Amino acid sequence: MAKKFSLSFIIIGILGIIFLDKLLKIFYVNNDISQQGPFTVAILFMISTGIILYVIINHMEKVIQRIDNSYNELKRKDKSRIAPYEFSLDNSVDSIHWLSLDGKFLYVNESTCKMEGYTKEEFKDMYIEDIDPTFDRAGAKKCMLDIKNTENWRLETTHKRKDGTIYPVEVSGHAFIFEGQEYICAFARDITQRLEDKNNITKINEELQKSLAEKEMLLKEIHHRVKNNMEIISSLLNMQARRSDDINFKNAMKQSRSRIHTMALVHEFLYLGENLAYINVQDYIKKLVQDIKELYISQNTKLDVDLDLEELIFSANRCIQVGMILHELCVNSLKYAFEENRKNLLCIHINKINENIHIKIRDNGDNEIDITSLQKRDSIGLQLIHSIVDFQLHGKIDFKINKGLECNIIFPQKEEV
Amino acid sequence: MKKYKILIVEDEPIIALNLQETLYELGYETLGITYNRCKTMEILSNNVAPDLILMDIYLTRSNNRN
Repeated sequence: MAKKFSLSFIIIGILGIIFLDKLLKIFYVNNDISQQGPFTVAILFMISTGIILYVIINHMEKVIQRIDNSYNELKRKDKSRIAPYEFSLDNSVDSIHWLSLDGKFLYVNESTCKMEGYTKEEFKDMYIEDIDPTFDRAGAKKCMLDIKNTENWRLETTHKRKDGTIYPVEVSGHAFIFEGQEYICAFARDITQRLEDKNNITKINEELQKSLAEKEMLLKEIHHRVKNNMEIISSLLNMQARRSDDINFKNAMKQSRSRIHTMALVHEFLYLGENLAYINVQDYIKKLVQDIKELYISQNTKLDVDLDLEELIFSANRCIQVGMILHELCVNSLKYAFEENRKNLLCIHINKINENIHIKIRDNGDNEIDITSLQKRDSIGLQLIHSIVDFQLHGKIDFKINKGLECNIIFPQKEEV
Repeated sequence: MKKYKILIVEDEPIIALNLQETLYELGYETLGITYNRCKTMEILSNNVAPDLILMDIYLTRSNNRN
């Protein structure tokens, strides 16, 4: 506009020179030509003013254009700078919204609109209680204060969509100050699927627990059955022995019965205990030694048992293996080392040293023993001991005389699967 | 000395028989063996009063612990 104005100045000036000059010549044809002077100067002044104005305005226009361009460039840069953040906010799974301290919506992202069913425009006049039916006006204000005063504020609540449907949400809230004004920023997540999954998992877990309990019961039943069957075998052997006069046969039956009992005891511990796979060695050995004592020792024989048993847990198999060895060695001492009217001592030590299990069994018998005979495998008892130590425990056994017979067994604690 | 009378309640016959023989060896008299709850109640209702009942806790074909 200003440019046009200055151009018109120049054009009028030029027209003035061309036409006005001629008119004046006609008008003042008889007058002194010197009177034209002021008009010509005025016209020239007009032209020069127009030129100057044109130049200034043209320059100003360029400056304004440059400022405008710079401003637009800055705007564009700013827009491209915040674009990723806006994109992130709008495409977040969570509903993100800013609220004033009285619970009025100031900003909502796209997810909030999708989740709640309202437009961004509609949210401008809404308060938190419009989407959370658990709040009234006072409750909403209190909630905002709670968020302000609580670090990592969290709440599981329900939200009501525009169509009236209600769904569960998990909300986290944070207070922040921007340009001197306090705001609440809240993130709400739809947890319908999570709660469904949780319920399904709980249901599956309950079914698994039920199934596990049934299996445990069946397993206990099996161990009970095995133990019962062993007891039946033991009873049959006892009845058979009772009908014989042969003392050797009776003793063989007695020893067989106590071997069966050693195994049956493991199954008894399994079905009576809390764990169906592992056995507390301490408890098992104590009971085993007590039972062997009752079976083999007469009431007149005094026997002290020194038990030093570390708290160890063995599998059922390992327990039977160790139990069988202890049974054979204990019965050997009870049969050959101990006598009435003397102070008999039986030591059983089981300890774990450097990933190995050390078993020491010692009696204080004073009869002469040929150590080399113990290395042989003449009797069933010795065959059992050596076979179990060599092939099942993968350990070493050593006999020596130490104020009686002492047997040391070392084997790795880790069981081979 | 009084002869104590013992009743055995056990559903495994072999175990029951062995127990009866063991008691006999030890000098005790047994009133007999019953294999289930009904038979036991039947014996007890016939004015027979055992001094001791040796009973298996879990008897098959009976839902409750006897």
